[in-house]
Amino acid sequence: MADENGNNKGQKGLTSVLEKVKGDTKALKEKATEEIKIYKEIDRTQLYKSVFRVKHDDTPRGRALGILTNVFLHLHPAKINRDAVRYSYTWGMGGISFYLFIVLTFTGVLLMFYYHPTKGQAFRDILYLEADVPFGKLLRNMHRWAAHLMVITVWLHMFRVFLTGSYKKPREFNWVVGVVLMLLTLLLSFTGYLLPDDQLGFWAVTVGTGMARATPLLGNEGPFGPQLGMNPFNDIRFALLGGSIVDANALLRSYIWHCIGIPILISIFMAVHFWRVRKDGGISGPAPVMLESEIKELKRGAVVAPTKAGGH
Amino acid sequence: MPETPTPPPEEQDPVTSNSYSAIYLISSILLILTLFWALYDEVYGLRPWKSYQRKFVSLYLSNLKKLKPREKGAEEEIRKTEGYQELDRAYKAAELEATPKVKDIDRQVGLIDDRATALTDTFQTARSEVSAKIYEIEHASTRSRPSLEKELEEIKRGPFKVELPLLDGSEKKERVSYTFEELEKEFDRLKGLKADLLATRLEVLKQANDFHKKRDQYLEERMIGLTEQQVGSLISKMEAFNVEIKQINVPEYGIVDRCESCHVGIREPLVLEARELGGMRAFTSHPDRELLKIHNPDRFGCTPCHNGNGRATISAEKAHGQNEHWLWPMYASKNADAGCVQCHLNDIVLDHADTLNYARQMYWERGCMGCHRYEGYDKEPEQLLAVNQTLRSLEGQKKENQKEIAALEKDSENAATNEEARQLLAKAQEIPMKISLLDAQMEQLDMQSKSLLREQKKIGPNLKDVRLKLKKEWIPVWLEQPTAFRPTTKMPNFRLSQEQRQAIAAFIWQSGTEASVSKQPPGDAQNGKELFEIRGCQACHSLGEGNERMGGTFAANLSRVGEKANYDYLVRWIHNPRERTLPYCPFEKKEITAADYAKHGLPFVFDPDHAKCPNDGHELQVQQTTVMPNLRLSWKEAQDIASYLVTERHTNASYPPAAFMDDPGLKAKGVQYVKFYGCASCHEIAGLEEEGRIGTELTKEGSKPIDNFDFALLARKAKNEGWYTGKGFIEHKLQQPEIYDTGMVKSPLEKLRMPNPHLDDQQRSAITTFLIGSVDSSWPNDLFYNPSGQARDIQEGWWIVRKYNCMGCHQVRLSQRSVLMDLPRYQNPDWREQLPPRLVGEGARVNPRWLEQFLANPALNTTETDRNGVRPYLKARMPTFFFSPDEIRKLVRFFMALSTQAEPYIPQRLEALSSQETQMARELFTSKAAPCLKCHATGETTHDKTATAPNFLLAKDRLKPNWTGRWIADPAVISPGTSMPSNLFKLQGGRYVFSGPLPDLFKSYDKDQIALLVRYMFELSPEEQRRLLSRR
Amino acid sequence: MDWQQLWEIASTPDNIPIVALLFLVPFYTWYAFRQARANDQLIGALEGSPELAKTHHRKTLPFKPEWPREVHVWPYLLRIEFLAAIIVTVILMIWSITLNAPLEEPANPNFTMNPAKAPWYFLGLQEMLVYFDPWMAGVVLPSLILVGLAAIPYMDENPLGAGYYTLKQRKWSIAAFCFGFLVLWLTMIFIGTFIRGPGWMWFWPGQTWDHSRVVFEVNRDLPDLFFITSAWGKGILGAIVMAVYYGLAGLLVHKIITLNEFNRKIFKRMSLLQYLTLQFFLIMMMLLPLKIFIRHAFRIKYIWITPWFNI
Repeated sequence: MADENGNNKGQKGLTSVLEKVKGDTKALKEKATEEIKIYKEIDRTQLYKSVFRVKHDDTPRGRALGILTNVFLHLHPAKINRDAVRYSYTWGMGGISFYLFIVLTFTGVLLMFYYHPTKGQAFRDILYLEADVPFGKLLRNMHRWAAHLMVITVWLHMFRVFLTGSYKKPREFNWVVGVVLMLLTLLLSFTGYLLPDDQLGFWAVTVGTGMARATPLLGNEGPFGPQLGMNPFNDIRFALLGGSIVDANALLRSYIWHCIGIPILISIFMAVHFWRVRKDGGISGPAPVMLESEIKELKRGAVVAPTKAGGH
Repeated sequence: MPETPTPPPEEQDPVTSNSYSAIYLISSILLILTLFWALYDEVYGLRPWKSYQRKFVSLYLSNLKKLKPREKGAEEEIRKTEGYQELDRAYKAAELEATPKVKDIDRQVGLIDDRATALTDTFQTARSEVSAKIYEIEHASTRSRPSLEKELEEIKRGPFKVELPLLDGSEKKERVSYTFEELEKEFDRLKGLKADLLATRLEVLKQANDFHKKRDQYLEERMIGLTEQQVGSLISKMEAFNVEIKQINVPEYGIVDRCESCHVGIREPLVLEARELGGMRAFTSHPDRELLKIHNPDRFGCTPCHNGNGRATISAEKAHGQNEHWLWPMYASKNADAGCVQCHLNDIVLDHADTLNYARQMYWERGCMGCHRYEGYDKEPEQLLAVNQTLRSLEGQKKENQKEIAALEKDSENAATNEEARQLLAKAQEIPMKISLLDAQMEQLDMQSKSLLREQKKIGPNLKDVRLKLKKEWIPVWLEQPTAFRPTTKMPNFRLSQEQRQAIAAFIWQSGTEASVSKQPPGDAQNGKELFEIRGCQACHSLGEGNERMGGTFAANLSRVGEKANYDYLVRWIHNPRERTLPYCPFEKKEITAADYAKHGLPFVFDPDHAKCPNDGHELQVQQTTVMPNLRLSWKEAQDIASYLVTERHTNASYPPAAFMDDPGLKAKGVQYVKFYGCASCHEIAGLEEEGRIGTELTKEGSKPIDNFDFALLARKAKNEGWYTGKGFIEHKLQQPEIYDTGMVKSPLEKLRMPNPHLDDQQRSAITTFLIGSVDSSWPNDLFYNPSGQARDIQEGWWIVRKYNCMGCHQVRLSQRSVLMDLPRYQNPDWREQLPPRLVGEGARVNPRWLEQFLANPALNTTETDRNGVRPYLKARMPTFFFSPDEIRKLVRFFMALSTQAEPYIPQRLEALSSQETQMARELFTSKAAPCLKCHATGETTHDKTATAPNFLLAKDRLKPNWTGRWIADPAVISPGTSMPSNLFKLQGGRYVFSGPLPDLFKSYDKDQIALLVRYMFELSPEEQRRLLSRR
Repeated sequence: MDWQQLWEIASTPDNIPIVALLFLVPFYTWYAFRQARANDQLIGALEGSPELAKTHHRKTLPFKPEWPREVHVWPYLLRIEFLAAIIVTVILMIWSITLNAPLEEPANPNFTMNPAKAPWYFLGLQEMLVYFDPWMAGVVLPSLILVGLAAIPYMDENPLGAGYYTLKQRKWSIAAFCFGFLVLWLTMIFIGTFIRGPGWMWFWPGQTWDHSRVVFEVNRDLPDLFFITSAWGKGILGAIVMAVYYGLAGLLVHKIITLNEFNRKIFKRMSLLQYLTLQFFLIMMMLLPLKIFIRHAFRIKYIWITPWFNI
C-alpha cells in the first residue's frame, strides 16, 4: 500500500518524492509494530479464532469448551468422576488398546506402500523392507509388536472390566461389543500373520485354518459335514482360503481382510463401544460400594419369566 | 458445584493437586532419546557399509599414493628403452616440423574469429528482424501483403553499418555498410574460411599424433603394473568416490547383489591383499580375475556362485546369509568351488576349479557312485537293466506269436469250411511280419547292450574269480580292515563283526567260479621289474609302501600283492586283464559255461568278436568289467612281470586258517550281509549282478533342508559346536560315517552301513564342496553351461579321458603333467625321449578317421600285436582299451575340438609329384644334412632298432598335410623338447628353402620345398622307402 | 537341564508377548485384589455399623467432602492419557529397535515345520486339540467361549460389586472367570508355547526338544475299558456317561449357586432361562479340565464315540 502512494506521487521532482517515501516508511513501521503487538496474543488472531472458535483460558468454562469443541477430545465428557481418573482403577488398558490401534493403522498404511500380496513377490518385499526402505525394518517391527501388544492390552482391559463388575447394568451390551472387538483384534492379528509368506506364517495359517475343516456341518471333516456333501472344495475352509491349500488366493484374501475388511468392522464396533461408554454414563465407577442389605427387590416386568420361575 | 476450591494445605486433593511434570519430563526425554536412537540405527546401525567404504577409500588412497612413485620408476625404465626413445623422437620431430604451420593457422583463425564476432551482433539482429517480418507476411491477408513485402524489402536493403577488423593481421579496421544479403554472405564466407583452416591444421598434425599414440601404446604394452596416469586416474576416482550402495542388478534373473557395498575393491585392477589394506579381508580383490572375465559380474552377479543374501546390507552376518532361516548361506572360501556345480553339471574337468575336479574324480575312483547315484556317473547299469527288460518282453511277444502261428495253422487244418481255413492261414501268414519287426527291434537293443557291456565298469575286482585268484585265508583278514593291509586302498573300511566277516568271506568264497587257470612257468623277476617300469604300468599302479610309494594312484598299489594273489592268475591277468573265466549273459542273468556252448555244438570261445550267447543269441559280457587295458604283452613278458610282482610281499606275513569259509551254512547268512553292505555295487558277485544302489542319491544333496539331515542325538551338540548345517553333517559323516549312531540303540542291521572311506582332510573337504554344491538350482537354465558343438564334445570327451586315465601317460592339456613325466626314470634325458607323445594339438595333427582305427587297435596290426602301432621304438606301450564305438567317437571328437578342427574333416588334396620333383624330394630325404630315415622307423627290424620317430608310411593315412608342413618347419614350437631338429628349412622370399647344401636340381625350383617334401611323404610307398634305404 | 533350549524358546521374538504376560497378569491380578481387599474391609466396616453407612462416602480412595466429586477431563484425565501414549510409544520403539520381527524361510508346502504352531494367542486352542477333536477344540469350544463371555452380563444377577473391585460380594463369579481366564486360557497358551515341542510332545521346561523323540502312549477309549466293541454299544455308553456327567456337574453347580444365604438370594432373582444358560456354560467349561484330567490320569482319548463325532 505504502509503496503505491509513493509511486503515485512519485512523478514530481526528486526531492518531494524522497520526503514522501520517508514519511510513508515511518507510517509503515508504526503500523507493523502495532500488528506485531496483536500477534503476540495469538488467540486474538483471526486465524486462531477460525480454528478454535472459542477461547480456551484456564477457567472451568474454558476447560470444558476445550473438550467439547474438539472433535477428538469430544469422545470424553467435559467432567468425569474424580476417581475414574485414577490409574489404579482403570489400568488405562482400553485407551492404550485404542492408541495401539492408531499406531497400527499408521504403520500399516505405510507398509502397504511397499507390499504386494502375490506369491514370491510378498516375501521379497519383506526382504526389501528390511534392507532398502528407509525405516522399513523399524516400521515392520513396530507393526508386529504393536499387534502383539494390542492383544495383551485388550485381554487385560477385559480382565479389569470384569473384576470391577463394569459389565453390569446398564453396560451389558457394551460388554458384548467389547467381546466382539476382542475377537476382531485376534482375527486382525491372525490374518496379518500370513502376509510375509514365510514358513512361520504359512504353517501357522495351515494349522489355524486346518481346524475349519472340522467345522460341524460346514467342514469336510466335521461332524455331519460329509453327510451334507462337504468336501475340501466346497467347505468353509475353502471359502476362507479361496482354495483347498494355503496359496496365492489365501494370501490375497488374508491381505484384504487384514487391510480393509476387518479394520472397517473394528472401527465401526469401536465407535459403538466408545459411544456406549458415554451413553451408559461414562466409564464405570469407582462407584460407592453397595451393601448386601441395600439390594432392592428385582422389579422385572412381564418381560422375562416371573420371579417365581427363578426359584423352585 | 464448587469450582476447584482451594482446600487447606494439609488436605491436598491428590487427584487435582498431584503434579506430573517430573514423570512427564522423564518420559518425554526418553521418547526423544529413543527417536534419536531410531535415527542413529537407521543412518549408521543398519548401514555398516558406509564405514566400510570410508575406510576402504582412505586405505586404498594411501596405498595408491605409495604406489604412484614406484610405478613412476618402472615407467621411467621403459621410457629409457630404445624402442620408446625412437618413437618419442619421431613424435617430437613430427611435432617440431608441424609447429610453424600450426602457429600460422592458429593466428589466421584468431583473426577470422575477431572479424566474425564484430559481425555477429549486427547480423543476428538483422536476421531476427527479417524472419519476424517474413512470418508476418506469411500470416497476413492477401490484401495487406504487398505493403508488408515492401517493408521487408526496406529492412533487407539496410544499410547495415559495421566496423570490421581486416584479415591481414594489421590492427586496422574497415567501415563497411552491407545489405542483408551481403551481410549473410560475409558471415558464411568467414565460417567457411575457418572450417578449411581447422581441417588443414588436423592434416598437419596427423603424423605427430600418430607417433604420439604409438609411443603411449608401446608404454602400455611394456608396463607390467599400471602406468603412472592409470594410477593417477584411480586416485582421482577414489577422491571422487561417493559413499552409496554399490549394487549389481540383473532384472531378468532377479539378481540384486550389493556385495560390493562392502567388498569395494573386489573388481579393482590392482591385486589387493588384506595385509596391504589394514588386514581387512573384506577389501581384497577377487582372487581369480580370469574367472570374473568368464562370468562377468554385471551379468552373473555374485550370489549365484557364492550364495549369501545379496540384498541384505544391514550386517555381514545377514549379507553372508549366515543368519538362521536363510536357505543359501555363503560358501566358505575353501568350498568356493561348490558354486560351480549347479551350472557346470556335466563338466568332470573344469578350469579354475581344481578342488571340484579332484572331488569329482574321487567320487568316481573311490566308488562313491557305486552306492550313491549321481546324475551323469556310471549310467550303464541302469540302461543295461532297461535294455534287457525290453529284450525279455520282446522275446515273450515273439514266443506268443510263434505259438499263435502254430495254433492258427492247426485250426485251419480242422476248419469247417475252406473259406474259414483260408482266412486262418492268411492270418498265420501275417504274423511272421510282426516277428521280423520284433527281431529288428531286438537287434537294435543288442547293439545297444553290446556297447553298454563294453562301457560298464566296476571299481572293485571281479569276485567271481576269487577262487582262482586269491589266497583263501587272506580274505577274512582283508575284510577286517583293508587299510591295515594296504593303507592306500580304495576299498573303504566296513565295521564288520567277526561273525559278519566270516559269513561274507564264506559267501564270497563259495559263490566264486569253480575253474582252473593254466599253469604258468616262472618268469625272470629281474626283467619283470624292468618291464613293469618301462611299459607304463606305473601310470596307474604304484609300488612300495609309505614314502617309497611310487607311481600313479589311479589303480591299486601293488605292494604285498604277492601275499594274496595266485601266480598263474596274475600272469593271465597281466597278459590280458579283460580275459574272463566265464562269459556272463545279462539276458538270462547267469554265467555261460562250456556245457552251454557244447549243447549248441559251438566252440567254447568268447571274446569281443564272439559275444553272442549260444542259448539265446543276445550279447554276452565277455570281458572283465575293469578299466585296466590290455597291454598286448607276450606270455613271456607277462610271466616276468608276474614273477616280479609276487616278490612284493611281507616275508613274515601269515594268515590263520579259515576252514569256516567252506561252511555252506554261513553262505546263506553271508548273502544277506553282502546285500546289506552293498558289496555288489563295486564288485561283480555271482547272483548279485543286478543289485541296485543302496545309498541315497546325492545329485541334489546340497539343497536338502537342514531338518532332513538326521543328526540323531547329535543335533544339540552340533548346534552348540556350530556345525548344524548340511556342510557340517557331510563333513562329519565322511570322517566317521557311524557318528550318527552314537548313543542310539540299534540292531546290527539297523546300524548305519556306510563304510569309512578313510579320506584325508583335503579329500574330505573336496567331496564336501562337491556335495553342498550339488543343489537344485533356483537360477534360470540359460545361466547354466550346456554348450553345443565342440565345447560339448570337449565336455563329453573328458569323461572318457578320466575314465581310462589317459593323462597317466599323456599330456592332454598344456598345464597338465602326466604321471610318467614325474617318475624318476624319465628325468634322465635319453629316457625323456621315451615319454609317450604329448597329445596337445593331436587334433590338428592326425586324420580323425585314422585316429578312430588307431584307438580301436593301437597295434595297427591284427596279426602281430605285441608292438606300438605308431612308435615301435617306445618302450611304453599304448594299450588296447576295447573302447565301445561310442567312446571312440567321443574321444576323436574331443581331440578335434580341443584343437578346434573343422567338422567334418575333408582331407586336403595334394597335387601329384612330377618325376623331377620326386627326384628332388629323394635328394632332400636322404641329404647328409637331414637324413630323415636315420631316426624315422621303416618297419625293417634291423633299422628300427635305432629308430626314434614314426614310420613315414603311416603319414598318408595318419597326418594332416598342412600340419606336417608346419611340423617340419619348426617342430620345437609344436612339441618342445622333441628330438626332431628345428630350422631344417629357412624362409626365403615367402617360401621355405632347405637350410643344408642344396643339390643342383633345385637351381631352377622356386616352389616351397617343405610342401614338396610333404607331398612326397604322402605319396611314399613301401618300395620307394626301401629304395631310399638302399640309397643310404 | 538344557538351559539353552529354554532360552531358545523364551527368546523367540514371537514368544516375547507370552513372557511379558507371565509378569503382567500376576501383577495386575495382585493389583486388583489389593484394592478388592481394601474395599471388602470397608464393606465389612459399613455392614458392621449402619449409622456409619449412612454418612460414609463409601470409597476406599481418599476423599474429603470439600473436594470436587467431578474433575475436568482437561487436564486431569488427558494428561494421564497422553502420558500413557508417550510411555507406550517409548516401550514400542525400544522393543522394535532391539528386536526384529521374525522372518523364516519362504513358504514351502513340501517341507513341514515341526512343531507347526499357530500364533501364540491361539495356542490355547491348538493345545485343546490334544484333548478334543478339531471340531470341538477348533470350532465348538471357541464359539462357546465367545458366546459365554458375551452372555456373562445377562446371567449375572448379582447387583453388588458394580464399578468397584471386590471379592467378598462376587466370590463365585470372579472365581469362575479367573478359572476360565487364568487357569484354562492362559495356562493352556503357556503349555502350548513352552511345553509342547516337536510332534506336539510334552517336554518339561529345560528338556531338549528332540525331533526324533519317541514316547509310548496308549490311546484307548472309555468303551474299551468295558470291552464294548459294537458301534451301538459305544454310542449308547458314551451318551449315558455324558448324561451322568451333566447330571452330576449340574448338581454341583446348583450346590454352589445355592451354597449360602447370599447365593440363594441371588439365585431367587434369576430367571429359569438365566439359570439354565449359566448351568450350561459352567458345565461346558468344566468339561475341559475334566477331559484333561482323565486323559492324563487314565489315558482315555474318547468318552463318547459315534459314527459321526467323538468326544
